[in-house]
Amino acid sequence: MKNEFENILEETESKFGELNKKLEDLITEEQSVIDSFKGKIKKSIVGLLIIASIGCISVEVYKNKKRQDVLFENSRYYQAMENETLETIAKKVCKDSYSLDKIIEFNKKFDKTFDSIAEKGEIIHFPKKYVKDTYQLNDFIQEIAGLKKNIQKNRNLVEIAFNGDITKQKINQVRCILDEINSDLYRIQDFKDDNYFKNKVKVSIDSGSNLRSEIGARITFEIEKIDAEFRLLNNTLQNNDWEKPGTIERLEELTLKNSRIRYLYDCFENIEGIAELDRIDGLITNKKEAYLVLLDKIKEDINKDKYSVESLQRHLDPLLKRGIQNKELSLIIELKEKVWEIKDYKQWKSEKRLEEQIDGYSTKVNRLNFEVNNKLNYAIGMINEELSKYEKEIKDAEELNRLKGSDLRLKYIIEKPLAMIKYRYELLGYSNGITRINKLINKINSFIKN
Amino acid sequence: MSSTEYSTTSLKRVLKIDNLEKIAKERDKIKTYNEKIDYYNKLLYASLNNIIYNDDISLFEEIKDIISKHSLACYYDENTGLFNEYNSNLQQFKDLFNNKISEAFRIINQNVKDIENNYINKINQKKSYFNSVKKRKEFLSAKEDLSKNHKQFRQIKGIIER
Repeated sequence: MKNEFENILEETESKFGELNKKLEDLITEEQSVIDSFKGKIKKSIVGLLIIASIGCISVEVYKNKKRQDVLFENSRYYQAMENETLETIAKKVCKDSYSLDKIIEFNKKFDKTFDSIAEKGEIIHFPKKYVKDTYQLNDFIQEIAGLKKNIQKNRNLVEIAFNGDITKQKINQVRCILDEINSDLYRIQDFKDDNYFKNKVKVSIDSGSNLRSEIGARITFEIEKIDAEFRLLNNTLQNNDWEKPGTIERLEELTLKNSRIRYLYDCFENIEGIAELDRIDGLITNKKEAYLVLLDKIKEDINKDKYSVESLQRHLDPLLKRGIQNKELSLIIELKEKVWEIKDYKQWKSEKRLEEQIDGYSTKVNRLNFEVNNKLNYAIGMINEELSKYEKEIKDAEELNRLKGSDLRLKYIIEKPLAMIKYRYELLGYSNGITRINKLINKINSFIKN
Repeated sequence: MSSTEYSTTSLKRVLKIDNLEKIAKERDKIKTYNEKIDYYNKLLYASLNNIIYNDDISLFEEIKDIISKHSLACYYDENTGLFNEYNSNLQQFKDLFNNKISEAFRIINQNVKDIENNYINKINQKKSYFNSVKKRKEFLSAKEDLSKNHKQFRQIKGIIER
């Protein structure tokens, strides 16, 4: 088999070798071409990098120069404090790029508007618009410190002002404090955007603003409290019954409250509130007047009723003076009913403005009532006494067994005296008496034959 | 029947039976080999369809073993027909195998030619820097392809030389 393929094997093997070599040659050739190109590119990149570096350096040099220019233009240096000379400042800031003469020239140009000091080794500018020179600056710093103390002092004053009762004096003082804060804040307002002052000023502004807000909040709170009192006053006036004893006193209490609220509103210059209080005051006055009119009417009524009572009394007095008269018994009952109908004005007893009238009236009413009852009791007593006589007669006769054969007498007793007594009881509406007499009549009837 | 006559007849029968078993055994072996050849014949027939796969090379190795180890001898006239059929099949199988090996070489040679034409002759005509990079890449790819074909060639060559 090997022999069969010998030729093809050799031929193919040599073909492989040949082609492989050819490919390796080609790869080497192409690699050398690529390497050559890479070398060129590398050189180009290096060239570009060099150009770019030169460009960057130029830009940096330009920027540095520009920065120095800007620094120079924007620098507003002047003779500094803390023994720092202009020369040392120039060296430090300009790093020897600019001469001292240039700095001096520059400062001459700008020192009309700006000034500077050295503080903790740092040069600080401040505009002359606010502070003329370094001495004034020191004064200003002192002032800021004073302001801080002042704010703390005012804070304590505000605390005292709002503790306890509000007074006009206290509120005026708070108002002055507010004005003072506003004035201080206004004065230092311009400095808050200034590089040098802004930190110190910000603290003061914040502190002052906070105090102002606190005062505002406290005032609002107090006004709300007063408003609540006002609402309570208004509700009390609207919702209460102003036609009963003590109205005047209660309305006077409201007037006092009204005055108190008026004072507080006045403290806070609440004109609308005061106008409302005027309205409430008018209402109170109206209600007082209405009540006094009502009292007058009641007095009149009491007087009228008093005359009625006196009239009844006059009717009552002569009754039963001449013994028991049937006609008078009816009158007594009639008077008693009228006495029941008389008003007692009990609900007005606590009203001191009616005290005298009601006392006089009550005395008359009580007397009338007492005497009516007396007359009634007297009449009942008299009638009872008469009945007792007959009860005793029947009882005695019964005990002595004398009732037999006394029909005539018994009938007479029933038809005449007992009938009269019963009639009188009926006139008086005395049910106990009626029961008692019925019992006696029944008893007598039991003894009567036929 | 005497006891001696009985013994002789009985021996002949035994011998005859013994012979028959050997014939059957030989037939079974030839039959088994024939079936095996048939089976591999079918596998070989389906192999190498324009591309040489590793499976094809493994199959060639197995077939090479079968061809070298499966030569049979026939001792009984009863099996001659089957044996001739087997030999005929085996020869066809060998021929097919040779054809397939030739086909494998043809494919490899064709591949080599394609590599030469497609990669070397055509690509090499292109110029410029960027083409050099591309060309180098293509050449490396061609070299890899050539190497793969070379490996297959050596494998098949190894089978032939074994």
